[in-house]
Amino acid sequence: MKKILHHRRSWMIVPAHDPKLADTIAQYKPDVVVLDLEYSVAPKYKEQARANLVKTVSTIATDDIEIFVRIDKASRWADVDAAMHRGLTGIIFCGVDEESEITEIDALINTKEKERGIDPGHIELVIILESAKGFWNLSEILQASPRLSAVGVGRIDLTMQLGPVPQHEFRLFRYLMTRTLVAGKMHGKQLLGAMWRPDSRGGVANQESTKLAAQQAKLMGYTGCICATPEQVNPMNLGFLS
Amino acid sequence: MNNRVSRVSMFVTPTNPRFIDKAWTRGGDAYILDIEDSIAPAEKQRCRTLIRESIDKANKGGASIYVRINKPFVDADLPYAVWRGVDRIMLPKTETAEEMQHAHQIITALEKERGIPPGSIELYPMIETTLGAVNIHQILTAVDRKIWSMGGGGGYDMAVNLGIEMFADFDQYAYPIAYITLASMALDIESTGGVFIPNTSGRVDQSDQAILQAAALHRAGIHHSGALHPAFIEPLVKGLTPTTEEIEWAKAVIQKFDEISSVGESIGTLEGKIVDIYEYQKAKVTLDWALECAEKDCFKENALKRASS
Amino acid sequence: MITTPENKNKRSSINSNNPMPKYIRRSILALSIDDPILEKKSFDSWADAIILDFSKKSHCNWQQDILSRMPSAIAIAAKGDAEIFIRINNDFAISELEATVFPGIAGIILKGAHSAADIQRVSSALDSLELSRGILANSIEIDIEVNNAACTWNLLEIARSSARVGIFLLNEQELCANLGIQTQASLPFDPLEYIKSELITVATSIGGQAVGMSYPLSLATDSIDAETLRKGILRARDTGFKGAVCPHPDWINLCNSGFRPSEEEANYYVKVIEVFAEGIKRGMASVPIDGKMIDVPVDLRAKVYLEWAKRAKARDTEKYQAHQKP
Repeated sequence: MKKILHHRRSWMIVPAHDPKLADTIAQYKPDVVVLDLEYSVAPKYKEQARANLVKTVSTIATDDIEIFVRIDKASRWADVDAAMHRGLTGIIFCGVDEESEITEIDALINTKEKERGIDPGHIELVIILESAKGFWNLSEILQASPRLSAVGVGRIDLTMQLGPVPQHEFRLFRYLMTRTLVAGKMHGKQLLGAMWRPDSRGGVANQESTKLAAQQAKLMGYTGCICATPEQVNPMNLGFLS
Repeated sequence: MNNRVSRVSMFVTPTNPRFIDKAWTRGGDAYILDIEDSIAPAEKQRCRTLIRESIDKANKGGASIYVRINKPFVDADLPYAVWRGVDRIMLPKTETAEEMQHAHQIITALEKERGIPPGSIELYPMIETTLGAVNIHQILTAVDRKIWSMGGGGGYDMAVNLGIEMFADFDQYAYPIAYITLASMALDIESTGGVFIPNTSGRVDQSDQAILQAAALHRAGIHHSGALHPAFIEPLVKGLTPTTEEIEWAKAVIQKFDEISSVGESIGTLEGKIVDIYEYQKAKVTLDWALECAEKDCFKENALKRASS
Repeated sequence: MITTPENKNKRSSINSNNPMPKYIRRSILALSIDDPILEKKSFDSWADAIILDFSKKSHCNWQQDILSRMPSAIAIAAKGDAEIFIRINNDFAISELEATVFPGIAGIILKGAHSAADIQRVSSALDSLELSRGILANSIEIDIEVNNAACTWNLLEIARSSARVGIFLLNEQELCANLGIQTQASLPFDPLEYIKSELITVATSIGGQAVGMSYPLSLATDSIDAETLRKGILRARDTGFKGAVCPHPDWINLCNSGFRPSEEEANYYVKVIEVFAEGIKRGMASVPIDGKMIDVPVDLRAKVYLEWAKRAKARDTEKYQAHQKP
């Protein structure tokens, strides 16, 4: 497994079915391209998005650009199957609740590596936590696969319905960032996440607030974050710049 | 029928007629008949004997009834506390799973003996010490008895345990409260914790503080709270209920999401705002909660009418 | 555990209903046994506790070297009546313990532990050393210097791993480095807020206590103006810390006067106890003072606070007496 963790600041989401994804990547130059099969792909484009991966994964990956595929938890088996092609660096799995989900995906990736002629153990696994169960079982989850290279704090305000508190943060946000940091560092993983604030997070965060969220996360030990929009790539790169 | 809506639960002392006789007119969702710290040691036994009749006094306005017992006197208190009409037994300063198991066994026997549906009375562990906080997962999984909502980890007793001054302008219980909140959520128990609302005066009787508290809890997505003074009741009941605008918005979001889903799409916009699976789920929670609140309000209204006629 | 004169443990005799704080260790100063003026620095510091550090000489048998110098270092550092602790590195714990554990120390500060197994290993080594060196069994404390992610994650297991575990000290510089938290810049919040609170919670849950400082003074290595320091100590105290490791001797006086109830607070609590007692007499369990509710836990806290103030004062008297000896 190649380790260039400190370069992976911006993880840009592009829908895997987007016909213009090559242009988007060329224009925004993220550290990591995340071909999405999850949130940004509506059900009616799902098949097309999966089918596109054979071509895109192998053509887009260069020395400068690493390719990950974000799978949908509900259809993770078919999604992993569709994503596993030469050129792929890793799989992003959001919403993990417990270690058994990881051991199972790890086994599936093993099989697909063999089938598709990919070096054994080459494919990385990145997990993004989005549920209370996931945060509770964090340490066990992080030990469930040797492929696991990074752990992130996801869209928890949305997935866990954590509203804002008077301190201009989301409820529990800093605690979950801290808990993830401690477990992630204990197990030697890269930490992904940003100090998002209410009214300015994820898809609606502007460049300035994205940069601030990244800067504060960097001070807290985080080194990269998912970019919900391409416009967040640059501020994320600047915010996480060492 | 009554339900589990407890936008505000307030302590009342069964031994004081001034409080117990009037409580039902105050509009609380739940009253906590206290045998613990608001009852002087010499009054405890008299208080126990008053619990049964206090239930029918305090619930005349449709409120749910909780009873807070004493940690050192669980065996002595429970036979006076477990009655039909009691929704929740509150076990103060819970620190271990064994304490839960012990109380559970006694309650189970009393339910059987007194013809109360088995398991219908909630056993609520109050986490008021550091030991209780670090043992929260074992405590919450100790017995097979549903816990409806969970908070705690701060407050007066925790301050004693930590040996700290209270009412600082920063969160003095950051970890215990957050840890309890996470453990509860991980066990699918509705959480009422994790919001710090500064109150440097330490006063518990000012309704402007109650309005701030209600607004903060509501924004954070919390449905239940407690109070020590009747001035807190109305602002909390009102402030934790979804507003008409919120309900209308939730309906519109659900309708919009259904529309986009029906054509195989997953993200749309409504009045410039994103509508997606998360907004849809949030809207559903709002509508469910609004419905439960409406049921509770209707129940309270009818009870009040009966009591006044 | 048993208190003995020779291990100078300032343990509390108060019962579990009146639980805090177990030790009066408001100011902790680290000094090296190689320091040529160790005696003067210890004596003049007025610290409640002194941590002795040592360096291993490479050209000779370091164990023999330390072994021969440690007993006198302990004795001279204790002349001002500070409790004496030896800092042990977890990676070399057993050989370091052999060279440093002698009568007169209250405990060892174990730095860099990762898990409960580390504590258990040290605890068994102490069992034999206590036996072979004429020290009362189970009298030497193990105190935990938290400086890494694993130690933080496993804190509760560590706390419960041995009855010897007493206090938890936060080494913020090293913990931040281990977690990748940048210490040079400032955030609008304390990046370690939840870890500090966890340390305090876990330590208190086993009847121990935590030592640390509030942000950003916790990252200070220099001397700080008195007013800023006073405020920082107050905040640390009201988070639940019972003392601080002082990076500079300037801190010690302010820590000694700050990690305890103030005169004003003590006076208020005397009033609380009086008003509550009167209320009880009149059959009330709760009485208001200025809109604040005074009931059983508030009354109890008042008593804890007054007890704490009394014991802090008693500790000051002990140290004063030690300083009067010729």
